[in-house]
Parts: sequence; C-alpha cells; structure tokens
Amino acid sequence: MTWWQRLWKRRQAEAHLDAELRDHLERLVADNIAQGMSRADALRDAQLAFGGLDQVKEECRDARGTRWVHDLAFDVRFAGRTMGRDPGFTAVVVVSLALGIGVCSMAFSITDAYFFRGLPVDHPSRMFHVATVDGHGTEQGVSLPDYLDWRAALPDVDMAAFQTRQVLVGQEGSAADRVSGAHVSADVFRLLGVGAATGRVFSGEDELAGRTDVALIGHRLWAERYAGDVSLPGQTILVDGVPTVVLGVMPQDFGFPSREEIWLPFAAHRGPGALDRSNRSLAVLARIRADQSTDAVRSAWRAAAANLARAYPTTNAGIDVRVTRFGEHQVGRLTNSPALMLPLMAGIVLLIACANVANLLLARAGTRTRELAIRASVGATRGRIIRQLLAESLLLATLGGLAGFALARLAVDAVATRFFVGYVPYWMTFGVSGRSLAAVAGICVVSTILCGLAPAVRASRPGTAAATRIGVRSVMAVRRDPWRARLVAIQFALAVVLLGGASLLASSYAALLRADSAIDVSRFTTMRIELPEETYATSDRRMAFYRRLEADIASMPGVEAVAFASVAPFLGAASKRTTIRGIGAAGDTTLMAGAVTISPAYFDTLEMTLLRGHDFDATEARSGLDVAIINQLLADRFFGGEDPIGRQIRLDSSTDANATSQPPGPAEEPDWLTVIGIAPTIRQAAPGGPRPLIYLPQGSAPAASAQLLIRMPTVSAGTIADIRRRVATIDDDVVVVNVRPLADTLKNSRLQPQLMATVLGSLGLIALFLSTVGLYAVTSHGVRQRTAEIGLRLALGGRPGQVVWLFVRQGMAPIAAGLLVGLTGAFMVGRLLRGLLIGTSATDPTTLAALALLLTAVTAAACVVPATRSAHVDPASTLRQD
Amino acid sequence: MTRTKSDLPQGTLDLLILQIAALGPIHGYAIAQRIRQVSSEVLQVQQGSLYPALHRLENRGLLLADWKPSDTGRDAKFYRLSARGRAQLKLETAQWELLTRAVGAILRNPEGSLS
Repeated sequence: MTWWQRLWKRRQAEAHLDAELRDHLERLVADNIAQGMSRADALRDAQLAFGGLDQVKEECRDARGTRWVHDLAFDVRFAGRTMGRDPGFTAVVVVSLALGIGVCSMAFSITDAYFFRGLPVDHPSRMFHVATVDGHGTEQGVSLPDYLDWRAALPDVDMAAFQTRQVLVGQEGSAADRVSGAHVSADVFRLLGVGAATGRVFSGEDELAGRTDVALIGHRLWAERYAGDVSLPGQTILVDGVPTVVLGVMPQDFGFPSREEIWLPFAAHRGPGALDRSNRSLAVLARIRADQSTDAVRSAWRAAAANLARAYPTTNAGIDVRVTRFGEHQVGRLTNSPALMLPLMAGIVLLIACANVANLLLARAGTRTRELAIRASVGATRGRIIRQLLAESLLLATLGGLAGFALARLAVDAVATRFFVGYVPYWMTFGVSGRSLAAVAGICVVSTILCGLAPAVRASRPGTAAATRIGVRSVMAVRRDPWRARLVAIQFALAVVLLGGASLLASSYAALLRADSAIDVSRFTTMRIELPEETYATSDRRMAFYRRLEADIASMPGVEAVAFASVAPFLGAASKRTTIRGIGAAGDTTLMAGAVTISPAYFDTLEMTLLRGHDFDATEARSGLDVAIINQLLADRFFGGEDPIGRQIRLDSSTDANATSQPPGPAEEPDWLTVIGIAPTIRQAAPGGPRPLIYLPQGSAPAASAQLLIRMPTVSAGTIADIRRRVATIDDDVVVVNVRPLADTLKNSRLQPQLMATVLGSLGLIALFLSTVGLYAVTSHGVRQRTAEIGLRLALGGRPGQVVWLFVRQGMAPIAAGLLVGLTGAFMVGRLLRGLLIGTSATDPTTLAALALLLTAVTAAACVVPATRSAHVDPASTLRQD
Repeated sequence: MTRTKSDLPQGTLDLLILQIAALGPIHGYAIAQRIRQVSSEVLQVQQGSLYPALHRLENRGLLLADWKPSDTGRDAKFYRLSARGRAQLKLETAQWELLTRAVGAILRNPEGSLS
C-alpha cells in the first residue's frame, strides 16, 4: 500500500494487521501443542513469547507513517468541540480577528490604491512627473523650448509633454459641453502603452505633418454625448468651435493624466507665445530605464536645467527641476497627508484586536492548566499537547481570517464606490490587495498561535503542572499573570486614542453639517456665465447684460428667484487681506477673509436672513457704494465683542497672504467700506470649514464671468436648454458652463470630511466594541477564576461588599494606567488632526472625558458583576466547586 | 517508541530480516523461526517486535508484501525483497562486515591501534 492508501484505507490496514498478528499467534500455539503442551499452556507460552499484542499493534501503526494526520484530524475535531463548549469565547475571538483583519486590510488597500499604485504600466515606479521650480520654491510648468532642449540634453530618458485645459466640445446645432482635456504628444501613448479602443491614437506622422484638427474622445464622453456611436471615429465635431476630426475613442479606464475626457494634439496648443521660454505651461511625463537610477537621472536633469539657466539668464535664472514619482505628484505623499490617519487608526484597531485575542487566550490558559496537567500525567508528550493547542489556535485563526477577508472585500467595495470611484484619477483601482491582506492576516495568525501555545509551555514546565495542579486544590495560588493586566492597560490606552480621534472628526463633521444647513441646497441650480472680454470691456456693459439676463430668467415658469454671485456657495472665494479700522487708540486688525460679489437678490434667493443690519439696497448694489456685509464668523472673531455695524473695513488689493514682504503699494489706497449687515455663516469655500467672509455689491467690481443661482424646485433638461436658449438670444457669444445642482457641489465638497468621519468613526466604533467586549471578557474571566478565593474570604469572615471592592480595585488598576497613556495619545492625535477639524477644538475635553468614563464603567461592571455573583453564593459551595 | 527487546545492536534486526527475505517470499512467523534456528537460539527476539520492523521496511519500500494462501489453508502475508531492498541489503552487509572487522581488530589488539 502506498502512503495515501494507508491513510485512506485505514480500516483495511487495521484488518490486515489484525489478521497477520493473529496468524502468527495461531502458528505459535499450534507448534507448542505439537511439542506436547496443553492448550492452555501453549496459549500462555505463545503470548509470553510474542509480547503485548496491543503494544505491538500500536508500534505497527506508528510504522505506517500516517499517524500525525489522524492525530491532526482528532485534534481539529477536539478543538471544534472545545470551541463549541465555550461559544462566547469563540465568538469574541473570531469576531475580534475578523474585524482586525478586515478593517486593517481595507485601510491598507485603500491607502495602497491611493498613494502607491501609480500609473497602470509595467513599472509604475519608473514613471516620473517633471516640473520646474523657481527661486522661491514655487512649482511651475515647463516651457516648450526648455522641453525641446531637455530632450536633446537627456537622450537616455524617454519623455513626453502634455498640458491639461478645459475644452468646449460640441456639434453643429447643439450646445457645447465643457470637459477636461489634455494636449498630448504622441509619445504619451507610447510611454503608457495604451492604444485606442476604436480608431487610432495620434502618430508621429500626424505630429510631423503638424495636424491640429484631430482629437481622441474618452470612453465616458463617447458613451454619454455620442451614445456609444461606433461610427464616431472619422466624424467631425466642434472643439472650442473649431471643426475637428475624431481619430479614435480611448478605452474605458483611460483618463490620462487624471480624469480627462478628450485629447488634442500637442501642436494644437502652440499659440503665438509657445516659443517663449517664460511661458511655462507644459507638464512632462518621463520614464527611466531599469538600469538608470532615479538619483542619477535627477542630477543629470538638474545639470541640464543649470545649463539652460546659464544660456538664457533672463528667463531661466534660478529655475531648477523637480522630478517626482508620477502618482506622488498628483496625490501628494502619504506622510504629508491627513489620509495617514487611515492606516494608523486601522493599525490601532488591529492592535486592539490582537490584544483581545491574546488576552482571551491567556485568560483561558489559566483555566486549562489543570486539564493539560492531567493529559500530561496520563502520558501525552509535550509535543502532543502543543499540537493539540496549535490545532485549536489554527482553527480560531482560520475562521477569523476567512471572515476578515470577506469583511475586507465588502468594506473596500463600499468605501471605494461611495467616496472614490468617479472622483479620483483613472489609474487608482480599488480592491483588497493580496499583499496587505497577507501581512495583516499573518500578524493576527501569528499572535493567535503564540498566545494559544502559552498554556502548553506552562503545562510542560517541570514540577508545577503535574504535581501541584491535580491533587492539591489551590485556592489562593492562582497566579496572576502580569501580562494580562498589561494587555488590558495597553488595549484601554489604544481605544482611548482611537476613540478620541474618531469622536473629534465626528463632531467636526456634525459642525460642518450644521453650517451647511443654513441653505436648502436641494432647490438650487448653479451655472457659470462667461462674457467675451472684447465685447464686454466695461463694467456698465457687463452689468447691463447681467440685469437683462436676471430679469429674463426670473420670468421663466417654475423659477422662484434668481441671483448672481462671483462664486456660488461651497465653490470658493477670492482670499483677500482685510484690514479692520481700529476705533480711537485701538490699532487696525488685519486678517485673511474671502470676498464674494453678489447681486441684490442674493440673500433672498438663498433664503438666508441677515442676522443684523440690512441687505444692499438697489442703489448700493448697482453703483457699488462703499458698503459691505460680513458673515457672523468674521463679526464674532475679529470685532472683540463690539458691534461691527457701522465699522469700517478695507480689502487690500493683493490676494497673496505673504503680501507684507512686498514694497508698500503706490498712493492708490483702496477705499474703506462700511459694514451694513451680518449674514449667517456658510462654507463658502468647501472642502474646508467656514471662514471669515465679506460680501460686496456686484456693481463694485462686475467681472466678465459670474455664477448664476436659480431657485427652482424641479429642474428638467428642458429648463436647462431653455436657459441656454435665453442666454443665446441676448448674445450668442456668451458661454454657459458647469450647469450643476447646488446639492451636487455640496456633496462633492463633503466627500473628504465625510470619508474621514465615516471611516474613522466606524474604526472608532469597532475599537470601542472590541475593547469593551475584550475588557469585559478578560476581567470577568479573571474574577470567575478566583471564585474559590472569594468563597474562602467569605468563609473567613469577609463581608461581600469588601470582597467585591477588593476585586474592583485590582481590576481597575490597569485601567488607570491605560487611561493616562491613552489621554496623552488622544491629545497628540487631536493635534495631528487639527487641519481636518471644523468647528471643534483639537482637544475636546468633554468627548474624551465621556469616553474614559464609558470604558471605566464597562471595566467596573466586568469586575462587579461576577464578583457580586460569587459573593452571594454560599461559601461552602464555591469552595467545593472545581 | 520502538524498542526491540532483543540484545541485537541497533539496525541488526532489519539486516537479518532483509537477509532472510532475500531467499524468497516468507511470512512473519517463518521469519521469526528462521532467526531463532540460524542463530542457534542465541539471538533472543521478542517475536512481536518483529512486526513493527517488518512494517517499517515495507513502508520504506525495501520489502514487498502479498496476501497468499499458506500451508495452514488461510491467507498469510508473504514478504519478499524489492529491488531497492536488495541494494540496501548489499550496502548494509558490506557495512556490517567492515564494522565487525574493525571491531574485531580492536578487540584483538589490546593497544587499540589499527596499524
């Protein structure tokens, strides 16, 4: 029989063994009888000569070499039964492992996709983004002449240039869409190894022929605007009003460099200023070869830039080169990003989960010492006991790991579709990465096995196990494991840190939602109106157009109100250095504030009621008299508790926060404005929190483009087309772009804070769940183990209250230590999170205190409940109990 | 945990079994009898301890086994040498001879020198 046959045909092997040995004995007996013994003597002699039958059989089974498999199967079955006997323990361990593994690999996978994956090419780490840096350290693009000189100077480096811009895509007889596009050289497609899905990409020949009238269309634009028309390649569309031939449609998951939807030839962007070295508008993609080191390429590049700086000092003096990994250039470095919180926090959850498992296994090890000692004393070897415990640990780890994997997949899918897909560069792909899953599962499994084996090590210590545990009942001698207290303290500290961070983010997100509730966004649609500068050169002409359009739209059926603003809510605001004129001896105050120009009906349209003062009246609004309305935040923070109405403020012309370093401006001082009203605070520039904001009448500085805000409860494609038509009726050179429900803008602006609050909030809840369950399980287990001690104390005259108090005191000691460490950590995390917090201070003592109280209460309950239960049972029975 | 209760040096029982099985298919009882006979009853082998050794040799592929009708009329398990077993027997016999010669030389020479 082969090894496999011996393993599978175990019954047959046993039958053969039995038959063979019986045959031997029968022959022996027959020979003995033949020599003249009586049957009884012959039998006895044969048995003596043969030896113990069962022992021989055992030795033959050992010789089969399949024994360990049967033992393993037995161990696993036994482990299953052990787990079934204590389902609470099993559930806590498996759930802890599943949550730890699931959450951690979710966080690692998302971080990996966002920060480390890079372009979908064979070696993403060899793709670089190259930009220039001026003497102030400000990053700039690359000029075309510099790029051409670089190509000549660095023949070993493969490079391609591109430039993104907004493109109007249309057709004869239908309104244009504004989409993100890029001018790319044909090299881009070669470097990325990408071809068209239908049709073809730009070729070198197109470039040499200087063709500018061709375009490539992205998959989404093709599907949405052209209804997936397969005959599109070869047809002519309008790009910025110019007839252009579509060469091809790109594959679905292509959007280089980020989420672009149309690609135009590199030559098409070469306007008159293209050959100017100071016109730095290009970006450069470079691929280095496997045998080139990044540092060598970087220094060669910097040397080339230095040569250009010497050759063309007027334009290139002080211009250096910055070579960054492509993905890193787009999303930044993980270590500089608030997203670093994600893997860090998930790591803490993993630690809590591991501590839970370790603690529970160690706690159980205490109760199993006796069981293992009995096994050892009836002949189980140390190896056999270790194998049995290993099987139990492996079974737990396998169950936890499988559940964790399923959880990770669900979580990655949920988070990616909710927060990333559609908002991030095309090259980010989300899925559970095998690497991170393996690493996380490895940590959990190893910790489970290590802790699971602890009792085996203890049981096999000479003397202690077999001798003391079996016959002699120890009452006071239940050794307390110092590691259990330490693990409880560590776990408690970690939970406080994580919950501290999560609750800060949650309350910050709540503050954000409160700030946004000032406007009922569901009823607003916004769009940007762009006037051609040549026709609308003066303020009067612009204002005349805006007034006419406003009246026209207001008369449309279904439109409740219309207003203009330089920027719609949530979309940002020009940042201005602002001075508040001091009264009397008090000096002026300077601050940075956003500035928005609005038309008279703005606050009425948004249904915002001014908190104080009055709105711009018609004259103020049109003529741009020296008046301003400020938001409540500015009023509360910078007027020192005094009434801002009637006070004077001034907007300095520079929008640069570092303007102080510049020489004082010429005599043309901006005018002082009088504050006439205070508006509720909204988040003008989202993402981000509410900031000081100043509203100015539109008439004071009407720009050539403005945002139109329309309040209408129901919006249809027909209404939008009607608006476009009305605009075109007044002047068909005016462009309408970015037609968008205000609710969408708000939703986008909330994504990042919502992501952080949701993910870290759920991590916090998981940590809270794990640590409370873990603390309770471990603490109450520890108390139950000492039931006999409680009985003894009571029998010796201790009062129940005293005994319970003793246990609470002992159980709470590690909590005090953990609390101290945890609060320190939470304060530090709060400082890290400061940039993400809105309307919440980085160290929110109420939240932390509440958390500390909750965890303390849980632990106290875990001590009190089992101790009280034991203390109220008859001491005699607890003492007798095993 | 195999302990042969004979006074045989380690591994000697295996060598004896291989040697006996080399003569042709033979069942366990006959092997035990043969060991006793050829060693003039000097070698004391607890008969039961023969079987773990037989099974080990079988599992190592040195012996092959077949169930065949025997003289008693019942089927018995007959062992015979495999090709690998034959090679192993040659190797071990050579080693054994080398060892006994060396030990004999030492015992004959009280200084314990082989030269």
